Amino acid sequence: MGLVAVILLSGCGASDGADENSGSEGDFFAGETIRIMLPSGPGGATDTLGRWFGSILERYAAGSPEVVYETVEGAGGVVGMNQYEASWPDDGLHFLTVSGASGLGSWLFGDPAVQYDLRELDFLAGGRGGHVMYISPEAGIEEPSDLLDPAEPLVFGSNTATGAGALSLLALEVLEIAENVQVVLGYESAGPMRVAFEQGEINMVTQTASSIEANVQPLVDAGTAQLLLTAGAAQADGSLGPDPNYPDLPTVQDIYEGMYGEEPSSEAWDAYLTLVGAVGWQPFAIHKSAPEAAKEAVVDAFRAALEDPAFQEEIDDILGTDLLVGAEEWSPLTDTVNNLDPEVRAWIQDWLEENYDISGLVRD
Amino acid sequence: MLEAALEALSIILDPSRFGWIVLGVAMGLVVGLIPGLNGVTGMSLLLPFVFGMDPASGIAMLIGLLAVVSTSDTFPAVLIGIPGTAGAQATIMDGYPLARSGQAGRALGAAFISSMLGGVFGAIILFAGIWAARPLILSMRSPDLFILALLGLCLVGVLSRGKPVAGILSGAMGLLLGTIGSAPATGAPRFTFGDTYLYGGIPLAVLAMGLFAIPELTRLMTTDTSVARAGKLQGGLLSGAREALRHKRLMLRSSALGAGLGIIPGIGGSVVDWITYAVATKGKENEELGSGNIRGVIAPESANNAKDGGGLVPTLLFGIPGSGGGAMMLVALTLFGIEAGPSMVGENLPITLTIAWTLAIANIIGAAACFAFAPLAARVSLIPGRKLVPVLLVFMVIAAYQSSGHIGDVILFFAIGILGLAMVRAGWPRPPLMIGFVLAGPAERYLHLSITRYGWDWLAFPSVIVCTALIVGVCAYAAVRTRKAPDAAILGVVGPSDPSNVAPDSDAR
Repeated sequence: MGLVAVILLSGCGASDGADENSGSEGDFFAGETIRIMLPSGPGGATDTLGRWFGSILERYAAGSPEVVYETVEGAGGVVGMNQYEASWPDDGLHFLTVSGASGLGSWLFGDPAVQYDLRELDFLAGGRGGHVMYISPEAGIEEPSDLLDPAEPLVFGSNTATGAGALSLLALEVLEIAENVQVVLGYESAGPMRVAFEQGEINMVTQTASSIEANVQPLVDAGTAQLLLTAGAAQADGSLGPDPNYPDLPTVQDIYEGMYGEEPSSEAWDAYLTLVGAVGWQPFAIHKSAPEAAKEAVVDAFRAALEDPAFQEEIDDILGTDLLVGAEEWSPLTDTVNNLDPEVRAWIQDWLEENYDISGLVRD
Repeated sequence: MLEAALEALSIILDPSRFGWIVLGVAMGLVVGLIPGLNGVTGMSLLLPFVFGMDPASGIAMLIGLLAVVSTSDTFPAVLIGIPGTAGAQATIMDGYPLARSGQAGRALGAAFISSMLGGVFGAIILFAGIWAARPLILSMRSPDLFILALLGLCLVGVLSRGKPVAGILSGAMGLLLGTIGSAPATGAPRFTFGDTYLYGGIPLAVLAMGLFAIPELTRLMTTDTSVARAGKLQGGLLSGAREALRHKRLMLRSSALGAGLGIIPGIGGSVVDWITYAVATKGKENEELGSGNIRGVIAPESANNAKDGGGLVPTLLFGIPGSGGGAMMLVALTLFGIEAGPSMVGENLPITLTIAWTLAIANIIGAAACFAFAPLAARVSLIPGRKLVPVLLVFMVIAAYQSSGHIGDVILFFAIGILGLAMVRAGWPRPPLMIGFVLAGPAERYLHLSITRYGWDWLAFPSVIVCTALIVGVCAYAAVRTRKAPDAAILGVVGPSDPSNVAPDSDAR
């Protein structure tokens, strides 16, 4: 029973006892234990990413801190994010890995479960996951305009309208083909969607750009899938640029221009630009009110990692995109979050409620 | 091919890596032993250490852990009637009555041999299935998965022999409890009482523990007896092991069913033990199942170790985790820079082979360790209730709290315990509730997907029609059986009413 008790205790995270006073000047983390909130079920993308962020701090942060993780599951990460903002101290030792699409999206959409405010966070480092939509070659899409008259009916599959699928659903709206595409929601995650695509239950799927190479490229090579478009990446000036990982693939804007011969301009387009600026980021964050020294120490650690040649391979394997470090590189997200247009937000809420059975959204 | 397999074997038998397997196995055995902790808990404890390890070592450690959790979770199931993890529930049905008649050693012996051979079988299925399973998985559309979930629900009928109405109501209650939390397609919260705690639904471990542990602890406490009523042990480990080996066909059939159900993504490994148990109850020699029949131990134990091998097939091939443990495995692979997918039978084949070998080896080591520990552990069944219960209760409350680290876990644990107590008093079978609960999610999800995608056309799919016929058949069988044997033992009411029921069944002698 003794062994059992020890294991059980270590499971509860026996990590207290870090000496508060042992840090020397400049080594904010010396002798300290850092805690990282992973608002995700075990095994989720946020879980994976957060543990990697933690390992970077362990290896590269001055003072060699110890890192302890806490996964809090529920409501697509909302429960863990709530818990971080409400009850985790702003002492500079407590961090949050924001749960990608749903943590940012739920806040933007006004999910009633959300009790956190993204404006109270500082984003320190992380990646920006692009989204790539792929389609069955049987649909016969060779030119953008073929989307208006596909060879077989288009069936788009995704998880929930407020989750990672929101951006793609809005893209269909921008392209003015939402009426002609059958939308099937309720798949558990990207894996089952891919299986449904391969068996022909659905013929249009969106996936994060980082996992296209391993899972979709083999289908493309075999001629059973075709990469259609990327969601694009929000630029600092508010326009839409190409996905950094797939610069040659057309963005939603390129497809629109190919279909209609003009730049998109509609309420749906404004909403799309806002949404693309907000979701897809995978930030490592801390309370805005935390000590500046802690924020700097983290940014320094990530910068030190970037300078290590051996580290580049890790970025490719785990993040699959550029590692963005420091307030400057995170300004597109910070700007979107701080300057959210209430009208655009209301339009998105109306659109979700009217089309996708969503109710109870909290309005401004 | 064979050459690659042998090379992978030599890689993991390398002393430095073999040590990691042993470490993983040791950790897995402890985690399985403690009710409420499961493979996911154990893997998330080990995950921080895999950074900097070479992939083969890290994977060996994690798979070693995953493989043996369903071996050692038999201890609490047999000895105190409480599932060590959610996967050990069915073992209670016959294992616990055996312990109560002083035959804990016999039950454990049979269980460990079954676990070991089932686990090795699962590893073989993984080895073979990784090539062959692709078409099978791709043939499962949403309507097929829905109808399979329904077929699973039908087993409620088989598992409530003698009490069809109570069984159906209990299953329906499980379905209702399963709807708590976020709805599959819209994410809308249901029955969460405005609090985010219930967004993810009732944690399975809390439900399984509450339902089985509280009634049993209450009984031990109020009667102040030890589990083994006669106060002495009879029938050794080896006799149980020999008996298990004599039931080769049952073991093979159960392992195949376990691994097969593991391969089908979406239905989930959590009900594999119940389904196998239900299937094992057909046939004349099983009339006394539920009252200390060794076959009722062999079937679920072979199946729940075999399912890990099967479950890894869709995990590796398609990146679909069949279980929490599978999901953790995907994280570990990502941290090693390996993305699950078609490459697992291509450039990453050595990794896949390592996993299959580790699974087989860990199952053998794990079962051997359990054998060594069993004579000591079996004595737990001799401890009087007033000494045993307080210790167990403390452990179980901590373990329940471990599920989400929220006070709600503890409240739910006791609330569900009261429900379990009421069901036992009223003679309602509890297994149907568990099945209903676990299958509520997939059934709803795939019904929703089927209707949004195909309207009502899917009802005419050949596979759906075949399965519907099967469902009708199973229900009719259960109905006829109920009429024939009205006095059959009521599953779920733990403990035989008549001590003569616990004699070893005739065909095993």
